[in-house]
Amino acid sequence: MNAIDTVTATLPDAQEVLSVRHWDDRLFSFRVARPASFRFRSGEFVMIGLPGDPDPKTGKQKPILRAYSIASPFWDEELEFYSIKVPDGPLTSRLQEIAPGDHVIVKTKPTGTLVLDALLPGKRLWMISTGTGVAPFASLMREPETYEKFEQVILTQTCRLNSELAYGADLERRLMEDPLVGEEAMAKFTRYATTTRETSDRMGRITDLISSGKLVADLGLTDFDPAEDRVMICGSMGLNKDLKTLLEARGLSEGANSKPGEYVVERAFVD
Amino acid sequence: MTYIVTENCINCKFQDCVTVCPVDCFYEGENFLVIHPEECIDCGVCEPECPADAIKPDTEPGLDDWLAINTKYSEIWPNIVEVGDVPADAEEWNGKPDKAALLITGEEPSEPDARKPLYSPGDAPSDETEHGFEMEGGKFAYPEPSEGSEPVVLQEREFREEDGIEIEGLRIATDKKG
Repeated sequence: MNAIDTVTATLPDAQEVLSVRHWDDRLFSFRVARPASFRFRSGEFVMIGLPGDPDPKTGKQKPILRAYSIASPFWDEELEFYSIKVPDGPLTSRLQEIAPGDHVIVKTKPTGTLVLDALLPGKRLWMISTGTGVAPFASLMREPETYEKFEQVILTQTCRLNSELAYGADLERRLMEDPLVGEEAMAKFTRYATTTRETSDRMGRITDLISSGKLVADLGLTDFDPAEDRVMICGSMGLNKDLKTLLEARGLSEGANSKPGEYVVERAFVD
Repeated sequence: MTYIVTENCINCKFQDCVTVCPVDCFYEGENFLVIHPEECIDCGVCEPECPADAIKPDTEPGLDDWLAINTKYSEIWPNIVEVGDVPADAEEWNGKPDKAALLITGEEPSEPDARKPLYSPGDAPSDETEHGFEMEGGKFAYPEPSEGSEPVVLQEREFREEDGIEIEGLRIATDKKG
């Protein structure tokens, strides 16, 4: 029994790891068993973690928990998470070593603003992400309601390197094969991936591509319109702030669960 | 950084924030809520949920007083994890100016802090039997030495505040085994 296995003995929220996939030396995804009676809305996040080192005085183990978007839809029997690996990160330095059969703590209070309920009805849904910010959209792009509510669904993901886009590319491939939403997704879903450092087919920061009009032109659309476009944003603090400015200037206003609007924002969590 | 609850929550207390907080870091006073800055994970989900727009990141300028209030009362008030009754007149209070003076902290106005000396060195204590202890050179206040220990004069190392009280060059430890 290794250190991670001891979670089961000590914590009621422990869930078994079912599979792990490493995308490169910085990114990995994993699937865990879904806690009994755990409900959430596609796009929400939850606190997950591992037990910390015992306190030298009391021997008490305080868990190290971080917010993680659930990267699987509400109907999935398993929960998927997508994580960065931070070499000296308190959680991810250890979390990246999990293997099937190990256990992680999954708290059961999901929350978040990247939910369909927080948006007013519209024609087109934009899901704009950087890095691991794609995770909540991995859930929403497999959510049947997304395709009931919108005629067109566009996922953008911007990363520094091509290898960092691999998870998103795999999501798109799996989506098209999905028995529940594959057919609708084929007709409505578009993935628009760009890199900022390494050369690729599409390059540039998403804010620049919106400002210049290139993003909408590439997709054969016109600029963001509060009557038709709904936007979900999940990126760094800086990106979120810049996008808010761009969208407010185009007449879109921020929504929340208590007051739906034309766009919603969530910080992409890092360790 | 942390998010904090500010003035416009007073007498409104809508509690939409409580429902969405992933770490249950809200604490409840009679007419106000506070966030525990050490427990808040800065996820920001509560900020747009507040109908009174009272939740702000503490990085906004001019919020030092509210950060101090959140820090203090999140240690004193009870944790709130489920929405309770919203004041019937919450909407009427939303946006009213100068609500800060209406904050109910639930504290007795002049409750003495037992960890602090009740009087300064040199002062003659007014209540000689109830507080303080005898030492060469006078009578001194809390904290009293614990049972079985003697106040000691510290001469070997530099005096530190947590050692006790300092009177006219004498360094007196208050809770050290003699």
